Amino acid sequence: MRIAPTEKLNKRVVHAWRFTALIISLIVSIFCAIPFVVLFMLDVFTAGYLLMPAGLFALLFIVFVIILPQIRYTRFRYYISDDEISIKKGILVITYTVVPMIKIQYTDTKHGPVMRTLRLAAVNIMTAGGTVEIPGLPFADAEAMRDRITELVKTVKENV
Amino acid sequence: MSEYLREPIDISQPQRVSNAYIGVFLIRNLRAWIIVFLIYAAGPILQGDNSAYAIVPIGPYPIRIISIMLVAITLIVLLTLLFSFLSYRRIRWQVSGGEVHIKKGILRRVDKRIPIAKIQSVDISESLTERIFKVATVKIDTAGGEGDDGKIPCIRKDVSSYMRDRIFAIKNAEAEPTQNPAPDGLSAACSVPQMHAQAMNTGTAQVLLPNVVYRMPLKNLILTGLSNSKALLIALIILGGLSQFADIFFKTVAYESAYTFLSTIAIPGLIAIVVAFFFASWFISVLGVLISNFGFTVRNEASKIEIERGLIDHKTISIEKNRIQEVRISQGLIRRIIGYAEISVTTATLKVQAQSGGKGANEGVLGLTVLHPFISMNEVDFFLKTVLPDFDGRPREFNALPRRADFRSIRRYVLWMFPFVLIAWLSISFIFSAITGTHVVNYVSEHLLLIILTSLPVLIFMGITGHLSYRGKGVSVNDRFLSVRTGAWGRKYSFVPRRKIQTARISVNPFQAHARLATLAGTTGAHAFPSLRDVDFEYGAQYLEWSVLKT
Repeated sequence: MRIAPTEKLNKRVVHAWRFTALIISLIVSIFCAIPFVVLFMLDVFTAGYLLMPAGLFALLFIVFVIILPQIRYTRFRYYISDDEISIKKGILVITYTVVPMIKIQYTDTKHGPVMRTLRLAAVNIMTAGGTVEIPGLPFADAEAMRDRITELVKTVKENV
Repeated sequence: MSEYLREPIDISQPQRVSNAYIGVFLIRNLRAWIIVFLIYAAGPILQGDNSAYAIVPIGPYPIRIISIMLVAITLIVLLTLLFSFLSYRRIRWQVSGGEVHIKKGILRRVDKRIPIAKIQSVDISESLTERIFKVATVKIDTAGGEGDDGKIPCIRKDVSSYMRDRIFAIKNAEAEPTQNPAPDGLSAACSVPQMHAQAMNTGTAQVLLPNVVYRMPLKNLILTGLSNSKALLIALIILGGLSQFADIFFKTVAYESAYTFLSTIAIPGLIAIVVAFFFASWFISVLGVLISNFGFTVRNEASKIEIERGLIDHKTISIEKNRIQEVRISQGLIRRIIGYAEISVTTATLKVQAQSGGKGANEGVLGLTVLHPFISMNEVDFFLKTVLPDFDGRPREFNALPRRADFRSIRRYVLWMFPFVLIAWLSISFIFSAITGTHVVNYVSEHLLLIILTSLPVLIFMGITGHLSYRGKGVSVNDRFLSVRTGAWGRKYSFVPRRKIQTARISVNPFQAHARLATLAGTTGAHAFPSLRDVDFEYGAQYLEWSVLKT
């Protein structure tokens, strides 16, 4: 189970990732386009040069908006057992993380504007060694998960 | 531990720092000013250019300079004095109500309350200037990392150690409330003997009694400096540099007798400069080690370890034992040959505060502290048993990495070196083709054999290093520890108790996936982890299982 967690995220999270990636790609492309537009207006560049920032945007769009979120979604798996939380994630580099329940200090849920529109939330699991995140769960599920982890942590700590 | 206070003070009331602060502040700031001043003054003086001093209308050139300098120096001294006085008047500190309260600053005002329960260490350091005035800087560190705000400068030395003892006494009392009722009355003025008596009454005598485990003798200090692995690295660079230059030297002599001037004067001169430069930096590095480790003393107390060291800047570092996350025993090549090592530890610097606001993680910096700079390998176990009994019982046998990791290691080292060799030869080719007036392509094709013959040893050396690095790697776990060994020429043994591992992690990149290898990693409170590349994937999976085993 630790190297093959079974649960998947909600499918809607892909839309959220795509939207965020789209915004970032747009901003990067616009900034890269500024010198080209300026030089075009100063008649240094012909209109053809404007295709370069457009091409950059197309590339960013294909890689970061179309391809990567889908892979990221497909690869992401988690599982919560009584004693630990295991997560498998990554695009090129696959990372397997195991968080023992007794190490968990507290958990919370959070949702940014994009996630909130899609009625999704992320569960953050805090340990003394940093935070582990399970992104993209429906509100109710996220809250249930948070409560369940808190409950499990309590039981495990009582047993220890 | 604490010297007797020269006069009783009540640190639960607001205290000023020593008035030596004005002097220390003045000297510290003037030092910087003098350098700036000299730089500005030196230019015109050296060039004999007096146009900069034309604003003084009278007198000959030297008098103008002197008058300008006098006015400038007086102004700077007066301003600095004013600032140091104002800033001295602002500083107040007190230890009361379970808090250390610091107020300071003229422009940026700091009003800081540090709960004693959260204090991780209290370091006392004396800079050279402070030593002249017999005062010290107290630095209070919490898990959150206080930075400069947690510093109280220029406290009388006896008061500084008294303050530290008080803070730890209060902290220990808070940690064991059943044994040691909260000593409210104690926070009033009390001298050190009383504190000892108090500690003994409550059965925590060791907390305050000094227990020197190790005081470094002069011979070992010098050996520490000389066996510093930087020294070896520099020696290697000198050798490498010499061999490269020797090649060029002979090449030039053999090739172009017209450039005898270059080869007989410029190149030996260059070699001399390079050698002198490297010997100087080697000497400085040795000297640095000698100065910073002078008088290295380790004191072992019940819940913490105290380290004192330093010749110019005398430092006292205290580490709480239960915050130690990982122990490292590291040897450079020279130390490995003579059988000595350095012991260092990482301590937790990262703390998550349970706040409802969600702004939780307060990240600190990696805290690596040297516990012992120069210890015989035979004594390591005894030392650790004495100082860190919790860290006794690490696994001794290591599992080697799978054979298929060997090739990956060699390839990584060679590929890493390749661009450097390429760039070195390209720049040499360009320079010498320009000197000899040949086209660069012709130059390269003429010297191809030489290029290959000189590059090959470097790449072979890297290949051997890669192989040794594979051989040096090892990992093992027992019921309590994860233990990792690394190092190509030297060796580093790190071990982490399982109960300190917060999350366990393995990661697999596409190449590793192909070879069924994984990188073993994790997190502790210290944000440093002895991770290991290219362990067998199955071993990695077992490591994940191990991390959640119940003890």
